[in-house]
Amino acid sequence: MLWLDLRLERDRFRMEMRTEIEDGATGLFGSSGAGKSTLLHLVAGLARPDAGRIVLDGDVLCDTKQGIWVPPHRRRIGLVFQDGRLFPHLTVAGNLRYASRLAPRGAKAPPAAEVLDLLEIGGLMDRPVAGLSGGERQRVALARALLGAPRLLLLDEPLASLDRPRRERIMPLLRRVVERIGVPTILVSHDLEEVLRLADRLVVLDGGRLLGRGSPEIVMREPAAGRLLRESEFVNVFTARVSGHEPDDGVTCMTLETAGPEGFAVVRGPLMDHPEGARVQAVLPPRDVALAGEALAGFSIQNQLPGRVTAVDAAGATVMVQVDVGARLVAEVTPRAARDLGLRPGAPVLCLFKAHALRVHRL
Amino acid sequence: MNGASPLLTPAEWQALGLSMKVAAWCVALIAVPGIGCGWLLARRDFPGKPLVDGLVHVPLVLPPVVTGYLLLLLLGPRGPLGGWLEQVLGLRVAFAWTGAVIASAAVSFPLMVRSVRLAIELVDVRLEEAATMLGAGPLRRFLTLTLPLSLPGVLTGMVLSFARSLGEFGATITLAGNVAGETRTLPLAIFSWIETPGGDAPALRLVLISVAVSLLALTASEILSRRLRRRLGGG
Repeated sequence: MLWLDLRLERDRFRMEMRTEIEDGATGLFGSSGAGKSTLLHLVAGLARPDAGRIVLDGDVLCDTKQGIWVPPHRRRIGLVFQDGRLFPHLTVAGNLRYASRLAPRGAKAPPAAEVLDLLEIGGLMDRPVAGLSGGERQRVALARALLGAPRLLLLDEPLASLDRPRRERIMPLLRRVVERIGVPTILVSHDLEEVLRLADRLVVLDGGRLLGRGSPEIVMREPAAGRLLRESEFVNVFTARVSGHEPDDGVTCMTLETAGPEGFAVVRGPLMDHPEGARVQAVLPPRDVALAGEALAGFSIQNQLPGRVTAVDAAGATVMVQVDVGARLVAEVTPRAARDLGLRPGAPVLCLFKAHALRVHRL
Repeated sequence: MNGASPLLTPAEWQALGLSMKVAAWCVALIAVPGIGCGWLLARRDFPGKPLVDGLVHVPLVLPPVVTGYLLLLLLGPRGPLGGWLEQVLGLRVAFAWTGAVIASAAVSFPLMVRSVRLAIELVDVRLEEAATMLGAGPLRRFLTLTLPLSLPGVLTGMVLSFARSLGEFGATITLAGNVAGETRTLPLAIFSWIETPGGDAPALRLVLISVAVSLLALTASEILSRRLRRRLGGG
């Protein structure tokens, strides 16, 4: 666990925050200039706070009052930069070796074979760094950071330098690594969907201050943080397993990983070629979710998930409704719809969305 | 011409050999301090940095005679350092080949430092940050990253220093004198022949040797540095 209490002032920028970040995958989100990268640099030790204290797993890394300062190379914090920063005079294997040689003896580094496999870079080992594509470079950079056996992994906009198709290709790999290797990870990004797909918890920053932290649903309810999330195209992210294909109907069924009040929720997505049993991540924008008071018949919408309303937040011209359908689902409706349906916490409701509203990625 | 050495006379061999020896020792003497100083000027800020920068570069603009004379005052038999060197280390600098090495080293040092500094400034600091986050301390970062990546520049500095030493005249003749077989390097031998009536032909032969050696050194360094750059993944 990481505990922070930091104060920093630069020309026009002021950061003041005190928070703790649990193990697991945390996404640090905010618009540019919010202080995300600054915070990461402070944790890494590449920048010094004017005043403050940083404690990682009970180890004091920085305490300005007591004059404690652990230099960055002794912190054992891995950092993956936006531009990879591979060493150009070494091959891919040389870069990885550089890291594993520096991993402290007795530290539990993830097995190299597993890392190479998860990131699909086994075939690149003898290549010089100069010839790698952007995506390959970032995957090697991530492998290098992991093989250094870090206690904490920081990812600073790791996909920002890649184009959309490459990002889509790497994101599942990244998610897999974060889940399987189990190193506590903090991911910085200005792309909310990226954050939501890679992390389980959010820390939202703006202007050097903490706006909210916790699961997306909790952060969504904080007034300022919630507004930022809505304005940044918040999306629902589910993990599920493919449970069957119905080619005649043009849909694929998926079972959500968490069980709802009515058992495991099954959702129908567009027909896909991932095999049965494959683990997938489904992305669903809140405005594609409609709500109904009772079950309907005779219409084209494939998904009708029963659930209970857990929160209703009016936000200007829209109302954000959180429904527990097994997983937490956020729907965006008009104030009028909210009134007509009598939406309030505890009310039973049906969530409706088209199969094609789901974007599905294999994990 | 004698049979053993159809190309060069013994005196010419001697001057050439001495020049090479002095140049090699000169490079050996300034390589490590030059790299250290170049790194310091490229990467560190400290009080008095402009002064250090100026002191390092002063031999570049001073007439070599002045540099040689200052060295003589400092390292000569009655100089503050010279007496100590002779008594404690038994090292005589004035009018000895070691003096020629020191004179060369003094005028070559700024060239070495400049090349190294430029090369190190071109090494991306962000790569050093990446190495830091992998757990590399300052010395390891320097040895595994900064030095290998600036090697072409370091090499250029060494070749420039070698070449500068081969051409050294003013500081050498002032500090080390013009003693045949001891301090008479190629340029000094050429000067001596020019001073001698009827010495034009031997002087010209030495000039040709001098040109050939310099070209050889520069070509070799160019080839080597091209190979290095290719290995470093640059253009």
